Amino acid sequence: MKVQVLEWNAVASWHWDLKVDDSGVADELCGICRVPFDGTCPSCKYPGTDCPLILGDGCTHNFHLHCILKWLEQDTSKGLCPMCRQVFVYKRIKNMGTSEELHNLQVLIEGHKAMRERENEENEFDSFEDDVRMTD
Amino acid sequence: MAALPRRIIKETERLISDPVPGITAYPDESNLRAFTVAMDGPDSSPYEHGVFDLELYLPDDYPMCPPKVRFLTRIYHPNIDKLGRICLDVLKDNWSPALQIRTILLSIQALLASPNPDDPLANDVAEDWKKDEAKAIGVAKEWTSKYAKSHTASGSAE
Amino acid sequence: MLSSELISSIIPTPNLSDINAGELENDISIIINWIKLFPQPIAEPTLRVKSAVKSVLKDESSQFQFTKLLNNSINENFQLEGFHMDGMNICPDELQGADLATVISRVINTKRFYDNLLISLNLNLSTSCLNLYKKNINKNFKLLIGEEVFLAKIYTYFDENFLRLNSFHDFNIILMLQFFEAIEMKNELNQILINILIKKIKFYINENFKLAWSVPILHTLNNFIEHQIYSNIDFVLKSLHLSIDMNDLIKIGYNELISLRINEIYSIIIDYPKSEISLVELNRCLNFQNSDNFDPNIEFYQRNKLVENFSDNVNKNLLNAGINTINLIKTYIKIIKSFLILDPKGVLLDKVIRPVRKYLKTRDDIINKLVLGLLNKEPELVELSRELQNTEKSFKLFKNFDELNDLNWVPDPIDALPDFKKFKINDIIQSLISIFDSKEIFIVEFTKLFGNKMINSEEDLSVILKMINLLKLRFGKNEFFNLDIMVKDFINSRSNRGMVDSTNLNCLILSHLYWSDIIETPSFTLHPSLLLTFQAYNEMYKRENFNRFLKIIPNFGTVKLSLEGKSYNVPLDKASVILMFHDNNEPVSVASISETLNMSEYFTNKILEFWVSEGILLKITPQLYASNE
Repeated sequence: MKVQVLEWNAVASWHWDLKVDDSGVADELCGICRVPFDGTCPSCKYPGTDCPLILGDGCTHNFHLHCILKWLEQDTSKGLCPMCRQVFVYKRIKNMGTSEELHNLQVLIEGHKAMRERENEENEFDSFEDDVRMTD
Repeated sequence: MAALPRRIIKETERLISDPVPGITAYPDESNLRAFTVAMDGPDSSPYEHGVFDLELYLPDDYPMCPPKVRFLTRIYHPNIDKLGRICLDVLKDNWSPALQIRTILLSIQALLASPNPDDPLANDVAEDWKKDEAKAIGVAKEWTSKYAKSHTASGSAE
Repeated sequence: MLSSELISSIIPTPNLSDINAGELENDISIIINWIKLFPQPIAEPTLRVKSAVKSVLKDESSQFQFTKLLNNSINENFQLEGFHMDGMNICPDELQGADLATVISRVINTKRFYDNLLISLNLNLSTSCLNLYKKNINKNFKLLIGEEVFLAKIYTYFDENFLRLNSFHDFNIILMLQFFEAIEMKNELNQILINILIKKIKFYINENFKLAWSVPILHTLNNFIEHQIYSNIDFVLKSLHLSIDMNDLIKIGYNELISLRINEIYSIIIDYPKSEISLVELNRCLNFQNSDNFDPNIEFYQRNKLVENFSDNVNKNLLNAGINTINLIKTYIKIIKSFLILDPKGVLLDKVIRPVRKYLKTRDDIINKLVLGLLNKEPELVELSRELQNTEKSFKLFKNFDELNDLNWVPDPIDALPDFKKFKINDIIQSLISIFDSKEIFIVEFTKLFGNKMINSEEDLSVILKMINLLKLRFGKNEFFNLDIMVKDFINSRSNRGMVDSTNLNCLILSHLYWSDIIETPSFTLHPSLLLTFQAYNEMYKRENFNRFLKIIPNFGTVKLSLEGKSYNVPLDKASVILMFHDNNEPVSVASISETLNMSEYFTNKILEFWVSEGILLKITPQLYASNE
C-alpha cells in the first residue's frame, strides 16, 4: 500500500536554544526581570524576534537584550553581570536584536571598560582581572 | 501609574506566601511599591527581642536601582543614622538586579547582627563603638528595649 | 291625643303644650298650637300667631327655646303609631317594606310638609336653630326608613343600574337624589357610589386584563373609566352638587391594575419581550399622579410590594438547581430589560437582581456560557452577542460621561439601597461581568476559546480580530496581551508559508508560554517519516532564526493523505498509524505500532479500527492488522 503525504498542517512551538557549551541547561528565567526567556521583558509586547536574548560569553548568564541594556545603562552596574559580577561580555550571534540595540550594547560595554581603566590608573592596587577578561 | 511589573508582583507574592523568618513585609494598599516591614532583632545581638519597623520603597526603575529602605524605629547602630538611613553596600554601589527585596532584607538583618564601625554612617555612634564596645552595646540594648519593643513582647528590659 | 299624653308621661320631656306661663311661653304655645293643626292645605296664620312669631324671633335664646320645644313635638309625632305623614298614616314597618319609589316620595313629601309649615309662619329662624331643627327631623326620617336596610336597598339599586344611570328613565332618579339631599344623606350616597364604582372597576380589570400582557390596554381602561364610570357617577353627583375628579377615578383604576400586575409580575417578566407593552403601561400606572390627591406612600408601598412579590417568585422558581445556566442568564437579561422599563432609574432592578447575581456566581459553567454567548456560539444567548456588537455605539455614548460635571445630576431615589450604582446597571454585559470580582476569568476563557479556534483553524482570523476588538472596548485594551501574542503567532506563521516552499509542510509556530492553557503534553511520537519532514523544516527554521528551534506539538494539526486513490484529512495520530503500513504488505502488530509511536495499545487499537472502518486496513487477529489490498 502507498501512503502519500500530500500536505501537512502542523503546530509547533519555538524555544530559545539556551544550551551552554558544556554546562548543560541554563536558567529558564531572565535574572533581571524574572520572566522566562521564551516570554517578553517588561517593556516588550511580543516575545521572540522582538525581544531577543543576549547570551553571556565567559559567564553562563543570559538575559533579555532589553533587560541587560537597561542594567548596563546604570553607572552602578560598572559593566558587570548582575548574577556573577564578572565583566559582562556577550556572544555575537547574527539576527539577535536590531543593529541599533546591539550598537548601544557595545557602546555601553566599552564605556564601562573605559571607566574601569581610568579607575585602575587612579588606583594601581585594584584588581586587573577585569582587563584580562576584556582583552578577548 | 503604569502597571506593576511582573517581577514586583512575583516578589510580593512570595514575600507573603513564603516570608523570610523574623521579617514580615506587606505592600501598602494604596501603593504597591511601598512596603511596611517589621524586622526582629537577630538573636544574641544587642537588638535581640526588639521588633524594628522599616519602610521599603521600590523606585520606578527597580530592579535597575536598589529599593530605598529606612528604619522607622530608633536604633543605636554605627551604620544606621538618626534618620534611619542605612549604610549597606548592596543598597548602593553593590546593588544588582539579581538581588531581591528578600535578599536585601536579609542583608539588613545581618547588618544588625554584625555592626561595622569602620564604615560608619552615624559617626558619633561609630566613635562610641570603637572607644568602648561594651558600653555601646549596652546603649544599643537600652534603646532596643526602649524603642523597639515587640508588640507581643516578653518585656525583658535589661 | 291620648297616646301622645301617654308617651309624654313615659318620656317626660317638655313640649309645646307644657308652656303655660310667661309671655314667651304663651307666644310659643300659640305658634305650636297653630302648627299642631297641621292644616291641609296650609292656611294663612292668624294675626295673633304672626305676632307670636315676632315675639319668638326677637332673640336667639327665645328662638332656641322654641326650636327645642318644636323638635320635641316633632319627635312625639314620629313616635306615634300609624304616623301621620303628609296627610296619610303610615307605620315604619310598612314604609320599610315598600318599594324605594314609595319610600322616597313619601319621605320627601313629609319633609316638604314640615318645611312648608315653617315657611308659612314666616319663621326665619337663625342658622343654628334651623340646623338643630333639620338635624332632629332628619334623624327621625332615618329612624323611620330604617337607615341600614334602606342603604342596602340603595346599594343594590345602584349596583344593578350603575352603568345606565346616565340614560335611566323608568324611575325618577332626580327624586331619589333630592331625597338624599333633603334628609342630608349625601355623604352616605356618595360612599355607596364610590364603593360601587370601585367594585365595577376592579371587576372590569380582572375580567378583561388578566394575562393580557401583549396588547396595550390602558387606552381601553381609560375609555371604560371615562365613558362607563365617570359619566354615570358624574351625572349622579352633579345632581347632589358634588363632584369627582376624573383623574381620581383613573388613579383608582391604575391602582387596581397595578395590584393585578404585581401578582402577575414574575410571569410577565418571564414572558418578556412579548409582555413589553404591559411593562411600559405598568410604568405609566406607577408614575401616574392624580393632581393633589397624589400620595407618595402608595407609590412607595407599590414599589415595595412589586419587589417583594417578584423576589419571592425568583426564590421559588428561578434560583434552584433545576434551572439550567443558560435559562438563568436569559432570565437575568429579561429581568434587567424589563425592570429598566418599569423603573428606568434602576432602583427596583438593583434590589431584585442582587440575589440572582449571587446565585449565578455559584454556577460552575457560568463563565463558559457567558463567553459562548458573547461570541455568538450559543444560539440561546444570541442576545449577548448582539449587545457586544452594539458595544462600539454605546461606549461612544458614554465615553465623555462624567458624573461630577453632569448638569442633569439628580440624587438617588429614596428607596435606593446604600450602594446603589446608577450608571452601570443598564449595560447588560457590564452587569453580567461585574457579578465576578475580577474580569480576569473572562479574559482567560476568551483566550482559551480563541486559541482553540486558531489552532484548529475553525474560524476566520478576520472574524476573530473583530471580536477581539469589541472585547477590548469592554474589558480594556491591555487585558488581552496574551491573545495579541497568539494572534501574532498566527499571522507570522501564515507569512512563513511562502518562505519555506520546499516541503509540503505548513507550520503554525506558537510562543508556547502564551498557549499553555491549550497545548497539552504530547501523548505520542510522530511516525518517523513525519518526524523527518519536521526535522528538515526545523533546520530551515534554525537557519532563519538563530538560536531558536521548534518542537512539534503532535496533538494538533492535520495531515492530508492520499490512500488507495482516496484522500483523507486526518489528525497526526491517525496519519502516523497508517504510515506504518506504507510500502508494507506484511501484517503489523498493535504492539509494534504502539511502541514505535509511543501510544497506548488501547488508543492504537481505536485508530486501527478507524482505518478498518474506512476499508483501508484489515483486522487479521486482534493483535494483527494489514493493508486491505
